[in-house]
Amino acid sequence: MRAHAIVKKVFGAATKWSKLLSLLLPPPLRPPTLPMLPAELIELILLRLPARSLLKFKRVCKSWKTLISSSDFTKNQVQLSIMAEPAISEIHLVYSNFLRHSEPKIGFIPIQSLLENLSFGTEVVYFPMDDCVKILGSCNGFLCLNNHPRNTDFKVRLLNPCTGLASEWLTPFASDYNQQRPPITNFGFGYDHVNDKFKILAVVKIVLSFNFGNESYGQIALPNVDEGGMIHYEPVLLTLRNSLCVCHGYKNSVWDLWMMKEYGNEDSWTRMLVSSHDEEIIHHYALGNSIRPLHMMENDLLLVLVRPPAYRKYSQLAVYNPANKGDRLGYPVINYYSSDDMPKYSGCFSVYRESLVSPSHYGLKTDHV
Amino acid sequence: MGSPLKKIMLCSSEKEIFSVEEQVMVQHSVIINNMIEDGSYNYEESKIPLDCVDSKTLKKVIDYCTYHTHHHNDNQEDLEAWDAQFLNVDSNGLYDLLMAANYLEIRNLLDLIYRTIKNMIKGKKIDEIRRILNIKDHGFTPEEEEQNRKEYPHFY
Repeated sequence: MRAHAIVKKVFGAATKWSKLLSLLLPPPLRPPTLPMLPAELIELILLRLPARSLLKFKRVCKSWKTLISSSDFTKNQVQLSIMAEPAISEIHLVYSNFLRHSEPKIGFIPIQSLLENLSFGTEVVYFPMDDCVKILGSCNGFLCLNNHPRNTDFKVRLLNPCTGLASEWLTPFASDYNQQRPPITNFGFGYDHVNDKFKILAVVKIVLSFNFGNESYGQIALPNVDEGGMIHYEPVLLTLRNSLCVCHGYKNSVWDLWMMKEYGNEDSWTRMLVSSHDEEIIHHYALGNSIRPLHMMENDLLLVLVRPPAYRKYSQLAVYNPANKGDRLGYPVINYYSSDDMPKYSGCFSVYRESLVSPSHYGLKTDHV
Repeated sequence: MGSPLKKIMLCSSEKEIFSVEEQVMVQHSVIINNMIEDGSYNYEESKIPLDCVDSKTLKKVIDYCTYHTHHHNDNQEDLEAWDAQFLNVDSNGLYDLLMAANYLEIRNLLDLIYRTIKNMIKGKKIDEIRRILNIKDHGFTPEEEEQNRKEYPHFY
């Protein structure tokens, strides 16, 4: 036990004695001054820091500012902090409150404390917005935002809420979108690490993709699902572990999850999980869109958000074990009314990690929000 | 992978010679692994000259590699406790270890030192970080510095 702790324990924190004794004891250990480190080693240390710290560290010295602002550094930081060593960046559940008539804003909730406390509690951090937006997805520190309510065109932009920088609005799928009846409602957003591009994906019988940066398009076939005619709702697109995934709900109360192990290779669709709904989840609502896989944790368990039936006031988080026949493990209930303006529809939630990447690093016109 | 009994010679900047199990260094140091693999090390005559690593540091580096070779099956907690004790050195010692690990490309030791320095600066105020990392010239103009301090007083 450190001397200070002993003093506190013996004398109590507030006594005069402890104050007096603190003056007599040496100050708590301060990190010593190191000899000057070479720049390339500084870079390797800074890469291990979370985005939030790095924003502050831009002011330590000019060379750090140049480094931390550079496209290469921010991309490497994403590689390390999100892909290789996920412990560096805390994961958050993120949602926008576009369904309510309050101030438009985006809410962030740390998932760790959510799982520990089993309620949303008071820990929501807000990012204020000028207009109502819908979050189509989140990846590598970006949120993909969609204008809402949709008046005319379907528009999207990338926002990094950590730096407050956003791209201009873009209009993907213009012709496809307008021709679709019923309109496309189901989008995915992800990062294609082979081509270093962010993409927005939409299901129109196949998956249509739109590349941010060069505004090109592509197509991907959906996995061949045996229960062909039984799909209840259009597939839900999402990214888990940086891979494109599709989740189906079937009429016989079963849902499954497919992962495209190698992006662009349609033969690499792999069924990761098949699970039956248990009674707690079965309700008169459809099964397809009611299940939204959010995040695959380090221990390979799958965190899923469940859309509640209309009569229930709470959203639900569940943890599934893909290795064990897709068994459901935990079943925390999120008391979403404890936060005044949390949407009920599970499609409104995404999983977010902070980074410093800027839309400008991907060739997009960028401005502060 | 070298045979466990073979020894190799390392020579510090003070020309002191250290004899180490080959396997220990091959497993940890990318540079030494490459030298053994491409046959540029001659067991009869060669000493690997490490002109920028002093004896005190080299001994620590060898201790680290030896311990991690023989205890890699230990549980994570025990290894972390040993690592923490191992890095309980003064700032010059930490710097010398970093430079040596960088020169010899000992990835897990580098990782450990990076993490240690990261923890020294994480959550610290800017003035304190400048002190710890010995940054005397921040390179900002007085106006820029004043502007930053005004805008983000809680950072300093």
